[in-house]
Amino acid sequence: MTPEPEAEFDPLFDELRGFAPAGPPEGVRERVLGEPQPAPEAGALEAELGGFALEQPPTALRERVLVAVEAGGSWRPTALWLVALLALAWGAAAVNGAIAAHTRAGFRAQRTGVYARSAGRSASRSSPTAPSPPRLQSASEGLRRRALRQLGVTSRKG
Amino acid sequence: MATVTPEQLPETAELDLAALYDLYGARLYAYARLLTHSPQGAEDAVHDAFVRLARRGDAEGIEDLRSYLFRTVRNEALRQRSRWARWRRRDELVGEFRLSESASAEGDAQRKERAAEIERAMAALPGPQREVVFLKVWHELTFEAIGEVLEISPNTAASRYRYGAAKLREALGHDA
Repeated sequence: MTPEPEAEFDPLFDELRGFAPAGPPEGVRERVLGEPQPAPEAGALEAELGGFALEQPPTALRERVLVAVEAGGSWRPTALWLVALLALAWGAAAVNGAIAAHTRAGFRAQRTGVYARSAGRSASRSSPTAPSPPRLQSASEGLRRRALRQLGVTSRKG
Repeated sequence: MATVTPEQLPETAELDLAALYDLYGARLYAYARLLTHSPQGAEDAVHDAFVRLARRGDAEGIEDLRSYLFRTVRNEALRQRSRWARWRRRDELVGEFRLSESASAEGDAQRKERAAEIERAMAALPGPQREVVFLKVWHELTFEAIGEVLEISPNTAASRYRYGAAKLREALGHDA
């Protein structure tokens, strides 16, 4: 596809270009941009108000600003910093609490084990299936009788 | 306090921040006071604006340094109160308009009373009008510069000024 040839110079175009296109009707600019406002002259009100000075900053602010700009920044306790500090404190408390809970659990487990062993012994003593220990009273009775027999003392029954 | 004039300000490149503070620090503080809850908040806004300017390093691309400073302080002040703005209308001014006459202990009693009247009349203005009157009267900014600071058109600034000044005239007993 061959490119379209450039239009040859036409005196008609030259004449047409000599006429500027019509601008917008009057009032359009004002409607779009609003009425131009004349700057008010300084009247009595402005003169009086301007005669009163504004509240001055504390003198320490100058030093604070200049020190900060020298340092290229500054640190001040913003809410973010406070939140970070609170989070840190909360984290430390949580770790501390976890350690304490772990320790308590250890103690509890230890105590539970002691009680369990103790309870186990008690249970074995009171178990009906376990062999009952020799009755001391019977043993001593047998010994007493044997001793009396050796001494030749008979019992009243015998 | 002011040791330099606007003509002595650097136009490009190196910024003399100490000179800038001497020239505009008090005005910027008063402006920040109009926008923030507390004197401490106003100090922080001025401080942050200068730190921002220091980090920028130079004044390249800044057409009007004064408007730039006022706009930066305004942005810092609004940033501070952005959490409050969730509950309040953003264009509502939360700060105070204070004149040094009413703040100082000594001075003419009549003048102090008049200063208090002006403070009350200013406080009664709607926030946007108060801000424009403040910048126009006490800082002598043009409507174009005010428009740059507040990001509104110069005509809007002029309109707000006209309404605000009319209310002040009525409140303070000035003939129109």
